[in-house]
Amino acid sequence: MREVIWYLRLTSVFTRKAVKAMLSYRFSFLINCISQALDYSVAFLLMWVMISAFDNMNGWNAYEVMLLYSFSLFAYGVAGTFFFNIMNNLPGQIWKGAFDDVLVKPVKVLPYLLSSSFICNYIAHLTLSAIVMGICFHALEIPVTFWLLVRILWIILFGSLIYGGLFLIVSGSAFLVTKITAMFNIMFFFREVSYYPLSIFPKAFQLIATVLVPYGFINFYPLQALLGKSDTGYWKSMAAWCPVVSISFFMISCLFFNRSARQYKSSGS
Amino acid sequence: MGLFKKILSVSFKEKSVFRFDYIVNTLYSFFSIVLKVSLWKGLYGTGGGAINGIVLNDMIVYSILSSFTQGITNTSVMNDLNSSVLDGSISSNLLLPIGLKKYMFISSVTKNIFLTVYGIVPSVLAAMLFFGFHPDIRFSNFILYLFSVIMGILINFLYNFLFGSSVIWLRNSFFLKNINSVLLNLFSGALVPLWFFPQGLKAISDFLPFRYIVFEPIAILLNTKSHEETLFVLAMQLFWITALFCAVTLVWHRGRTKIMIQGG
Repeated sequence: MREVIWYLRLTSVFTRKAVKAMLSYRFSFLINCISQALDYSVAFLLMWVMISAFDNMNGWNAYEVMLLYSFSLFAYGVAGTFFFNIMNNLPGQIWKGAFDDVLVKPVKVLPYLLSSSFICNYIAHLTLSAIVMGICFHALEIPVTFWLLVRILWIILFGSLIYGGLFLIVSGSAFLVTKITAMFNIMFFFREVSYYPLSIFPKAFQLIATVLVPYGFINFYPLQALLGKSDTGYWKSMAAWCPVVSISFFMISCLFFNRSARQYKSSGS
Repeated sequence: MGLFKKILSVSFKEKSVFRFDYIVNTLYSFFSIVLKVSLWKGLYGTGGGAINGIVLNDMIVYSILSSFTQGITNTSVMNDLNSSVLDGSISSNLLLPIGLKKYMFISSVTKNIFLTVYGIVPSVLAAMLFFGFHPDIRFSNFILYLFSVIMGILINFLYNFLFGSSVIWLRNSFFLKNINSVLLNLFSGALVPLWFFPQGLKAISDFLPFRYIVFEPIAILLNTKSHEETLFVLAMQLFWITALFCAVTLVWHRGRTKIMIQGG
């Protein structure tokens, strides 16, 4: 317990540092956020254009699909705030041998990386997806009650854990292979899959996104329950499994990360 | 031409070092086609009636062709320019006995030929077999498509170079990448063809060069345009190439003296 508190204090030190760094390049930060928000808004717009030209996508109307997208984006933003920098910096540290610095510190690898990797860059993702959620709930005439908010937070919590686990798996593989671009691309590909109802994809994809890398549990299964959809033949009422799946996936990812970190051989001079 | 061949062979050697990466990327581009096709299948549903005069099979053909066209017209020149200005490596590129624009164009095209041969062609072929490809393509349309695609490559390169040059003044490249993807995603028709666009968006796209990169070449190939319309598209592409070329020359002429080299 004392250890946990110690790492939390470390996190707050690093977080303060990250916020200060962000504030010293205020204008640049702001422009980056706005452009990123614009990029995702266009994705929402395109989605809306595409689905509105038709009536629905396998029984999901434009607002429902946008809700899927915004939940996935929000969970990604939360996870990215803590994990993205690990994935972003680790390959470089490994090539240059700079990871030695982490190993000689009197800390545990993963908790240390987690507490030092906080970034503020996901404000745009979080704000935009919260706004889109609001718009969608309004358009779908679902009253936003206290219980709905609790349920939304519940879904996002477990979604973020799954995304966090994915970040860790991609980061951890940097210890095993030299280039992680391919892993990175596969992760982002499935992120895109999670923007749409899982039921429109071939069965093989559905199986992968349910069993192998549980993208389906980030948004599709929980929202299916929330919106009362029943569009997958043989996997019904999966929403109840969310906590179990996401927590165990996250734990497996941590295990994988720690295991691969042991493979590290200093390559620098 | 000799120089082009040399750069091409070096580029192939350079890229084949990371073979595993490219195999996975081929898989990735195949998956992307599957994703696009699944979206349209989901939208058309089991009924499969025509929407705006377009049936599901048209969209499957469009998705496969757009992946190919998007792949071959793609360019990373903006990123390359940005990073070479920001890390100072542009200084050695400026010393080459060949103009920077020309050098970057050749290296962008060769990189793309490699990516097309290794990544896009196999995945497109696989998708054709997988989804059953029933296009109605005439030889004359194919020739016109080739012309149009070459002009598309030029438009995309010049526009990216123009946009990328702004890093000389702004010294921030991250937001450019986002703005670029906003414009390309929305107006190039790579995911959603302009057929499905509401009037307002369609009207805006008329005044921008992006639809001439992916959408218009495919529309020509699929024989959806009359002779006059095809000619108009080709003329517009020529117009954009000229306009962008002039703009690039002007901006580069001014910017060349402004480059601030950092790093050694």
